[in-house]
Amino acid sequence: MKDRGLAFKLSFFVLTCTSLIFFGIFGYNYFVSRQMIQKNIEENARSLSFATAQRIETILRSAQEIPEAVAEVLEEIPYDKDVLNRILSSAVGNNPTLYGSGIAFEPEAFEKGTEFFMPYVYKSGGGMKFNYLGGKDYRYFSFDWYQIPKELGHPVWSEPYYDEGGGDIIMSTYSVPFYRREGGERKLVGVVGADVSLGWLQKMVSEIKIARTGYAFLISRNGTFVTHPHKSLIMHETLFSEAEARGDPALRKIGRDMIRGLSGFVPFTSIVSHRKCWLGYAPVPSTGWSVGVVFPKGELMEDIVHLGQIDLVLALFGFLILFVVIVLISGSITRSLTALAVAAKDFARGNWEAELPPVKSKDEVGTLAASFHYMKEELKKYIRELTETTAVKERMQSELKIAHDIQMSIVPKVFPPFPQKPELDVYAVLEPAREVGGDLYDFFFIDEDRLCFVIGDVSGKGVPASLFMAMTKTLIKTNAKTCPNPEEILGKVNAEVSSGNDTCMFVTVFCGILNIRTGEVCYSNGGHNPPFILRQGKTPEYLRGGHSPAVGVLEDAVFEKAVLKMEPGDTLYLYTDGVTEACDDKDELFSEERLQEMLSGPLPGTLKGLVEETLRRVRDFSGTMPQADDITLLVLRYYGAGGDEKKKGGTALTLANNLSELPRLQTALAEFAEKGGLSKGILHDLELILEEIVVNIISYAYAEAARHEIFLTLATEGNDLVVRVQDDGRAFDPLKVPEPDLNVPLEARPIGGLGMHLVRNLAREVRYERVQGRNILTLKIPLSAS
Amino acid sequence: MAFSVNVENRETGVYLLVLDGRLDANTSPTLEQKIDPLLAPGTKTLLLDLGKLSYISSAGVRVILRARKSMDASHGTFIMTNLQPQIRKVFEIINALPKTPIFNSIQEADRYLDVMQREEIEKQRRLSNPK
Repeated sequence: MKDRGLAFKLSFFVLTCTSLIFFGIFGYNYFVSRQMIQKNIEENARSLSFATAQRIETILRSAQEIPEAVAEVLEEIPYDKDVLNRILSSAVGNNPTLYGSGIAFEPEAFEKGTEFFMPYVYKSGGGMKFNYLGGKDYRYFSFDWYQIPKELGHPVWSEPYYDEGGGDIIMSTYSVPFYRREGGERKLVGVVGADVSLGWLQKMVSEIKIARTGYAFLISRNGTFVTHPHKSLIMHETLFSEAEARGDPALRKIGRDMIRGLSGFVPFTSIVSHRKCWLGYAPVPSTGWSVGVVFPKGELMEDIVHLGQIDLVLALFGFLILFVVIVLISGSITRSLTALAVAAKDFARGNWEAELPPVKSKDEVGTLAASFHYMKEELKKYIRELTETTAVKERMQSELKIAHDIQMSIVPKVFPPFPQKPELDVYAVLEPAREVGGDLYDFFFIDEDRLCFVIGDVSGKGVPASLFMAMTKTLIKTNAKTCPNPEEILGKVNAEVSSGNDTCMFVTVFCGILNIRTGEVCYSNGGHNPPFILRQGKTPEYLRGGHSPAVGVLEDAVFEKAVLKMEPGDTLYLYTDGVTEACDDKDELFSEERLQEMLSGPLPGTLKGLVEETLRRVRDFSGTMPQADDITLLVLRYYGAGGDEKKKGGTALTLANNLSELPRLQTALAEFAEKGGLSKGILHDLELILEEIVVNIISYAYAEAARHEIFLTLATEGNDLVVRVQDDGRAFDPLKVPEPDLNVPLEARPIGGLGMHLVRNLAREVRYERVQGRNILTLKIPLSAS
Repeated sequence: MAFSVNVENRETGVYLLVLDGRLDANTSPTLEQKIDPLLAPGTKTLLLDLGKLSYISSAGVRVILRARKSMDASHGTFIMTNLQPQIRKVFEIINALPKTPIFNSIQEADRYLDVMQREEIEKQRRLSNPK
């Protein structure tokens, strides 16, 4: 039900309620109507049976009067045969209900010596006949009609009977005894009998028809049917024999009540139709008979049942109309709602032009549609604006990202940068606070022996600073080529930057030039934080010489020069104020004191380690505070003119991209192994690894046959031999080469792809990087293995 | 250190190749040139003496494996002897040691070949003259 539509719910509930109400009213109405009709029928039945019994009684009483009058006359007046004849003739002649009448005398009562005397007059063929009855063959004294009134001493109606000669006519005889006084004693003289034809009775009763099968019947004192629609029952069957035949004790009880002279109204099963009926009955008092009127229940209830059926059909039509109306109404509502829902979903999917269904009504649905339309327009407007803003922002973001990449690419990022120069090592890092920053560093050889190195910090941050930084870096490099003195370089850059510097930006620069043959460093410090010189076994010292103004402040500024002699193993530590001015959450600065303290403590051996340790310390100090300024670090270690030995037995080698270089590689490796005391097995592994990698690079890294250089460095680090191979060929990660499936039998295995597999198996660790157009492969080979 | 290979025809269809020196990307074509003509239908047995081979890289392995594959295909015998530890290690890593025994000397290989030959003759005799 929950997931049904509105139309369904509405129809369901309304129709259910309506049906309940209708059937309630209909049922009550039907029930009460039945009750009323039944009551009506009962009243009808009672009055009809009474009326019928009354009519019979009236007629029978009028028939009684004649013999009673005759009996009275005979008690009062003297009579002879002739008188009796006349009395009888007039009685029969004047009374249509009488068939015949006779006067039966007691033996010897009419005249002495006459045992039987009974004059009898009866109707025959339109006239009247006279006859004397009685004799040896008709001994009337023993007949009921004579015997019963004689014994009872009052008039009696006989049981109905078929007249012997009268055909089908049922008759009953009313016998009245008459007496004579003799010595104060009433002595029976005889009995006046009147034969009453019951044809009229039958006719009257059979004329009573109720509905189609309703009827009336009459039973005599002992239950015999006197009249009944079934002729076969008349005079042959009694109500009791019928009850016996049907095995119906209720009928027997009805019969008993009827002959007992009671009246009543009871359920009854029709003898004619065998259907359920009601029976109303009433007694005929003078004879002890009883009239029954049968009311066929079904037929009388027919109308109301019919009415009920019509009501149901009408109701059904009503429901149908109601259903259609509800469906139409709810449909008109839900159609708009459904269309709105579809449009809303369409809209939500991003179809801003989704057409809203037209809703003209001013009802709630109309309001909803209007609100929805308003919402759609507002959303469209909002999203359009948002899209534009986002696009602008994204464009700026992407431009900044590109700017960041460009900035990162203009500072050298390949370390070690000069594998072919064993005299020195450099490491540097630049971490802008935003996408782009104003810090800079650079290092490059201006000739075979002199390395120029620079660190700087532009005032301000972000895009303006980054532009200024790029300009400064380029100017320094350009000028360094022509005049190899730091103070001159800075002077020229200053002159160029200061002229027309409307934005009043400036840059602090530390510029130095190291002669790798002598270890001498000339430098000039244009307003930058003084760097540290870290000498083995000594506390770090500030390099305070060459103090000069920042570049870009004064057009005619003079830049001082200072000189430093680096001993093998010395390290120059240059940084920007992003390091010393990093803040913690209490606004405390990292400070130069902390930096100096850190540099005084134990430090990692490698330059990279030193830089990473510094960054870690600064990051730990700042905690959750965001990086406020660009951080740049540049460290430079001098190994001396014979730097090979100082680099812990390390070796650097540059190979051309030609297989003929392999013997040179082999020789260098053999020397390296001998110097480092490496075992024959390790040497073989090393030779194998480097041959595979170098051959790989020579064969696949270059598209054209031009000369390229491959740089190799070897050094021992702890228990590992660290090998680094750099080439400027196309980007290629040899680790991505799929492993050959060595479980496949050799016969089915393709030959090839084995080289990198050997490398991977012989080295403990292989790492690939692509940095600034160079492939850098770093391998660690365990020294302890065989 | 250079590389050289000496081919000895011991009897019909049986060749002994003595490899000497370094077998790398530069020298493997030399071996290839020597070994390719032997991979003809007439060759029954290839015997490689690697005792003097001091170094091998994947380029060299490839030539040897190709020869071995070719011999296997023609149901010939391919035998390597005298593998130095570093050479054996390379073959182990690529899971390419032959199923046939590896002998420590040519003499052992010879004995093995003699036994094989005798068994073959015996088999032939039994097939042609069943009891």
